Amino acid sequence: MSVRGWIPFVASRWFRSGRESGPSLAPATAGIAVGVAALLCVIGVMNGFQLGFIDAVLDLDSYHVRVPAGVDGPASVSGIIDALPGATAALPFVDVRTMVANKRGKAAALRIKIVPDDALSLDPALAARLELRSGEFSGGLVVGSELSKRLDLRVGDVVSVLDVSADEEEGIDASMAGLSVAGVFHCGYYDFDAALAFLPESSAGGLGRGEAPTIGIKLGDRYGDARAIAELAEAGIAGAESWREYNRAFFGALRMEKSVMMMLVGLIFLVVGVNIFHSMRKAVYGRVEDIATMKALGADSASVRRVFMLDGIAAGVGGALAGLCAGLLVSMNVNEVFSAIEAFVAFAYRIVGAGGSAFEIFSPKLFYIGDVPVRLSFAETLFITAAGASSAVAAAWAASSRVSRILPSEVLRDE
Amino acid sequence: MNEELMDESRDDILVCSRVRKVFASEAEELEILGGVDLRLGRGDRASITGPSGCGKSTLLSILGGLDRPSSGEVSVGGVDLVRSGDDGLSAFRASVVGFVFQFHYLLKDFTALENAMLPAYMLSGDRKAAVAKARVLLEAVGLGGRLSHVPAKLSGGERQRVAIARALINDPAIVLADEPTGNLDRASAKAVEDLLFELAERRGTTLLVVTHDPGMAERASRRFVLRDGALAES
Repeated sequence: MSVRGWIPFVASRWFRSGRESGPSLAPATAGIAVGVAALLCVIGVMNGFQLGFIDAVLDLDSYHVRVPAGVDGPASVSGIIDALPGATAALPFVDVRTMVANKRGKAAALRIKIVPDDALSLDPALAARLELRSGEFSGGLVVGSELSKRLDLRVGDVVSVLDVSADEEEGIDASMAGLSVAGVFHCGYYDFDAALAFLPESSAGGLGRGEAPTIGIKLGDRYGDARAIAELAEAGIAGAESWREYNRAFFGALRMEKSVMMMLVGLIFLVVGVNIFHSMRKAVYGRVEDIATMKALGADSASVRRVFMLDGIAAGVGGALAGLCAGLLVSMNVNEVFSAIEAFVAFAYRIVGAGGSAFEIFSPKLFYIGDVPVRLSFAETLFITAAGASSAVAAAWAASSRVSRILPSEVLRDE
Repeated sequence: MNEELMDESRDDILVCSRVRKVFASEAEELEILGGVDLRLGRGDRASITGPSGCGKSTLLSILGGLDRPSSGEVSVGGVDLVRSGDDGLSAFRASVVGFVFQFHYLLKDFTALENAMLPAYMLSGDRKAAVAKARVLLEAVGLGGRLSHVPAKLSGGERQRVAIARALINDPAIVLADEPTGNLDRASAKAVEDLLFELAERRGTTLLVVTHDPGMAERASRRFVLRDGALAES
């Protein structure tokens, strides 16, 4: 028996007429579309925040590969650049953990990163990430915007910095050093804006004296860290560390968050699949007579099952593609969508006469963000779309198994 | 297998021998058919009558490959229905036999033309040829003006006429009709009965009708009565 033409013919007719004459798959299709669109938006926003944090951490502080102070080998900036074809920048720095106080004695914990005077030209990614809101990157301490706000610091102010040093003979020695504020930066990552400062080494005075610098390396591809470490080892620079190692807890938490989110993605599609299974099973029950009739006319069970499979494929692929389009549209314009919602809520407030402050979904008072970042990867987009489509197909396959158990001799009798 | 009964050299289209059908439940076994023998030749028009529940529809299901006997031999159009697998029975139903049921069992989402053409489309895969054939048959049953009507827009008699066209579209060797006029008023029943017998005669198709209607039974050239699980020709 030919199975080429009549199966899609029957399937398309049932799909089209579902609304009038039987259980419709339209709600299931809409469910998949909404699920795919929602997940794309959620994953896109989550990626936006996560990757934004990761980029900020790597660009400002951690670097992709670090050559720790005191390792063996020719660990100089020029030696590293020569050894690593994939390196885009190498910057020596000394991290000093300390306390800083303003002239009124209000203090805060601070990590000062002592860098070369020409750090911004040595590391273009650092320069791009640091938004200098006032002052300049030379002649003194460059503090974050939150610290500036908390300690009421302005360019030209002098702050007291606790300078702690230790050696074997004299033990721990603490003194206060005065540093002038040369600039205020903003990077959008609260921890850095509140507790990180940069200090060109010509302005450091005795701060961090005697400490060998760590060399931070930026790569064109941050996932090329393992290869870079191997190349450094080949060049005789041992002990280099990957960004994955020294940010293990932070990136581990982000990875865990993402894994759990993907599990939720799976669970959501499981729920969608179960809903489709029930819809399809209802469709099979609702068409028992039609199925028995087609079998009596000579259709075999596998062919009739394919009719329902095509229904499931149509629902799944149609829903997933619709969801993909809607998800991409909303994701790419998420800030405009939020603005529209805020405008609508404000309008509703005016209609009902409620006063109060303007409604903001992500109020800067509560959230440390300006815009909502969105980043979608091709692989994740494909995965979510395929998961949405395949949940319907799998549900249709499972639900249509009953077709083979429908016996025309039992259904098509009137006694 | 009974060699004599299975010998179709005498132009027999349907041969069944000692067919038994037993429905078993936990409490008891119920024998519906207790060794039915039946032989129909090409072009025969036969009727089976009998009291309700005597197993007429069950016998028809077995002869149409919709059900399997508990024991016995059945051959229709040269196909051994006892030893055929499920796919073999599907192919048999598509090409050898046509069904007309008491209820029309038309696909409700399809027009009269689509309902009639579907078996031919299933069998050949050629939609255009199937549509052309269905159009001719529907005109022959008087529904040339109702091709695009769905079953809900047709009268009971019209639906049954579509079912007859559907049963005949693959030029089956035999048409099995189970109370084909049981749900119709007297006028419609007469029209459907006339159509069924005339088309079968004109096309040389073997016809086996299960009926409670004595008039329709009398119209058959061979008449059988099923009683207490046994079939007897009257």
